[in-house]
Parts: sequence; structure tokens; C-alpha cells
Amino acid sequence: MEEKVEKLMRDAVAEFNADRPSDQQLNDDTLTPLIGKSTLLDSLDLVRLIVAVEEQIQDTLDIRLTLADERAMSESSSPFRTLGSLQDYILQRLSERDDG
Amino acid sequence: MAEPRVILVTGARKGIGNSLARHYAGLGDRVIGCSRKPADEYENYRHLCLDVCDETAVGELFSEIKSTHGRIDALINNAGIAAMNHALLTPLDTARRILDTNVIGTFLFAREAARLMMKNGGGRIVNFTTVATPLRLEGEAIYASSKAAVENLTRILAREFGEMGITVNAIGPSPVRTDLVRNVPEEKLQSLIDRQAVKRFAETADITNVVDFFLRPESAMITGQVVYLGGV
Repeated sequence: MEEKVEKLMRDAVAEFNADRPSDQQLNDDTLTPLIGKSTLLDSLDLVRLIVAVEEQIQDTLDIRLTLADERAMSESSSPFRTLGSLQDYILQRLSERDDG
Repeated sequence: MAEPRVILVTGARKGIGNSLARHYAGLGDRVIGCSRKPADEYENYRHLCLDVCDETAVGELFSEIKSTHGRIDALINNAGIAAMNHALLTPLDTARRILDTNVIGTFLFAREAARLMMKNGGGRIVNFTTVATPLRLEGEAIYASSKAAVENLTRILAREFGEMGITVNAIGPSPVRTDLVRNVPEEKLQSLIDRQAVKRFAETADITNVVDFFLRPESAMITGQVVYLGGV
């Protein structure tokens, strides 16, 4: 599952970057910040990226996952800090589905 | 010739939704309609059965639109229910059902449509309100309140979706002779029409005219607007 999620994250970032100018490309790296002072993204960009990731999850895994739910918003450490933390959060949510 | 538009109409089995679906299918657009009960299909029109508040079913509908058409150009968020009653006599279940269909249903379809529209550089969302909201009609406390919520939803979604090239507007029809007003006493309808600047029942063509305007490519600057019929 980890490899599948890594790939769908790469695909989502590629899709997201396709509409952006060359100097605004999001680095496909787990340490790439999504929020905070050092990110390239504004709030609408983050919405677009999350939608792209959710759609990749649906297209690849046939699972509808809502990432920005109340739980994500109430975590003491936001899952949207970096691409890596978002990937970890997705894996965690998917494993909970399997357990449940 | 321009490519046919892909238009989704909710509550398309009868009444205004049915007229709008037939109008756009007749123009050559690809129309997908939905309602709780089945309906006849015809050229350029496909019908699906679902409850507009069922998130899973709505998600599946949009997945199908995405795989079949790859896009959606316009959403006509027409599905709605009304129940006329004095507030003191309105069952809570009825109040919840009206809010669910009219507010949650409208929101859910707008959210899913916008996700698809943003990938194609934009689209048009048309919501449905009513003159009962600005007229503060007695006997329609929950219905008019649900549509007040739809109006605010329209204005805020217009702002949130504006940068994505998606316009969000609402039409507020004055009384039309459909099932929605079937059980309203004639004198009540007449007193409502007497409060309009144009004192007659609206026809479905009056509604189609406003929706056509919202859908036109030239209407890209028209968003967050609520247009009432009849001069209310």
C-alpha cells in the first residue's frame, strides 16, 4: 500500500504542477512544506492540491477519502505540514479502514 | 459547431427540472438528470435515481459523469421540497427533511460539481431559491429559511469558486403551477401574486430564460446573484 500511496501522491503533485508556472512548481519531496512561512502555496493552492490527492486516491484505490475532515483539523500536529506528513496521514486513514 | 455542453439537472423527473432538462436536451446539450424515482429517458437525456442527500450515491453519479464525459459544464441545482404549515404545527421530521434536501443537497452537488469544473477551467452552478424568502411568507417558515440558506450559500460559494472560473447564481421563481404549489389554496396563491410587480403566474419559460442567461459564456462576470421573478 505504501508504494501505491507514494505513486498516487507523485501523480497528484504532477497534476497540480501542470497548471502552475515553472517558478511555482511544487517539489515532489516528502519534506516539501504545504503550510507555514516557507511554503509556495496559498490557501486556495492547498485546497486544489488536497482535491487532486483525494481524486488520485479515488481513481487508483476506488476509495473516497475526505482528508480535510474535523479530525485532521483538530490534530495537534497538522497532517498538512509537508507532503510526507500528508502521505503518512493517508496511510494511517487507509489502515484504519482495513482494521475497521 | 461548438461541442455540446454537459449539464446536470437535479430533481429532473417533473416540474421545472423536467422542463429545463428537456429544454437543454432539445438544444443538443448532453443532459444528465436525477431524482428519487425513475423517469423516462429521451434523446440527449439520461436519468439516474438517487437521494440528493446521499453522499455515496452523489459521489458515484459524479464519478460516472467524469468517466463518461470527462467534465461538467453546468449544474442546475433544482431539487427541492416544500411543506406549507404553521410553525406551531410543523413536525420536526418535516423540518429536517426540508433542510436536508434543500440545503445539504444543494451544497453536496455544488461541492462535487465544482471539483470537476475546476479541472476544466470553470463552469456554471445555478441554485434555486423562492420569492417566499424575501416576502417572509407565513406558513413557509422552514421552506423559506432553507432557501435563505441556499441564497447565502450561493453568495459565499460564488466567492470561493470565483478564482476557479465557476459562477454560482440563484433564481427565485414566483409561483409556477407545479406539484410544489398543488396543495396551496388558490386565494393564498392569488394574494402572493398580488404582491408581485408583474401579477401573473410564472411559466417555465420565464425560468428557462434566467437560467439561459446564467449559463451563457458571456455571463462569466455574473456571479453571487439572486434573481427573483415577478418583481418582488
